[in-house]
Amino acid sequence: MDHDDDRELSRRMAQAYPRVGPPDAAAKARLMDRLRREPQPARDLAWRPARFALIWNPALAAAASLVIGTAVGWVLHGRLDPRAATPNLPPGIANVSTTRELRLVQFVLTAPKASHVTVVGDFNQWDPVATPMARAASGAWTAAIPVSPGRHVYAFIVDGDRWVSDPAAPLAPEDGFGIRNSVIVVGGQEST
Amino acid sequence: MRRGLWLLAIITALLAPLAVHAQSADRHLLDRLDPATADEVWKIAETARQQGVPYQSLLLTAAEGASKHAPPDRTIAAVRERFRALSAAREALGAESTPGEISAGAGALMSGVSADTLARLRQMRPKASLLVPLVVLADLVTRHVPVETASSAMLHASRMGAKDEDLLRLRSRVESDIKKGVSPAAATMSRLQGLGMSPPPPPRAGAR
Repeated sequence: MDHDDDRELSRRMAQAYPRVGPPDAAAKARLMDRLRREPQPARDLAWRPARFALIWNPALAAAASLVIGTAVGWVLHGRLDPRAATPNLPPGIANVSTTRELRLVQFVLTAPKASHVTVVGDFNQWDPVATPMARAASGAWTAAIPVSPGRHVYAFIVDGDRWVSDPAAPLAPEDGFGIRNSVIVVGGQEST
Repeated sequence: MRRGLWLLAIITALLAPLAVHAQSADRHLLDRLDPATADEVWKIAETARQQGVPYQSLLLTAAEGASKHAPPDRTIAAVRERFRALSAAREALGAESTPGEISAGAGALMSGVSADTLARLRQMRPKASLLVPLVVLADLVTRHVPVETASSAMLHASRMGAKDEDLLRLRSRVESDIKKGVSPAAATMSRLQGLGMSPPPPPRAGAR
């Protein structure tokens, strides 16, 4: 019984199939035109997270803020640290350019028998080793330092332990430490 | 409300490292002192800061003492003396004065200039900066121009509307004259006239 039914179905399909011809050209053109106007589907990449959203996490935000704040502090280190205003400069830096705030000042001390001389003052936070001076053939020791405009006090340290005031500059009043400093005025247009 | 509090905490956390860094940079100036002296100086500096007195110059004074191997008591005494001068300068110049003006005023006071002169300079230049006049005044006194003469000259120049450039030029020329052997007082008066300003009247009796 089943075999008879199958044979009947096959016969009918064989009769019907040849009748299905290709679509006419106009219908095909309409179909293709419609397909072209359809929007392109987005590519679905396997590695992309299915859902991405900003989540307000206070603890994470605070931690990120600390990291950013520390980084900003590190970046601004040179601007906040007063030591950065008077960098340790190598000897013989006469060609260092000045900024709008700082003026290049040349310090000179004649000490032909000295083996080591530094200049120390409020402009380098009185650091005895911050600003070594360079020895010239004449026996003079020189250092060029960028200094902010204003009145500054300073002295020279010869061979590590002998404090010497600048013979070419006036002396500051006694300040309680027993060693008189020299005074320099750095102005907007001219300096000593 | 709760989110606002969190935002405030975050902003504080952002700014805290900067503030801590600035303070640590200042405290660094005391590294060469023994801990007890450094703590004492820091207390004085903290008091100065709370009173609106520029405290950095106090730390520099302490650093100078450390470099000169001064005994702790002398270092602390020098810091206290500097603090007194800064406070007096701030009082004479006004609370609105800049840190630079107060420091320069303290330098002038420690050179022997009177607080009255500072106050009168402020009256004559209420809006303009007094930094240069104070620096030049202290420098003239340092170059042995009598305090009365230097004070009178600076007050007169300010009254006549002298600009900062004029005062710096005056200082430079007085220095040059002194090196040539001219007396400091005479150099100051002649150079003041050279700037197109008639000599000031004689200093008031009692004025320093």
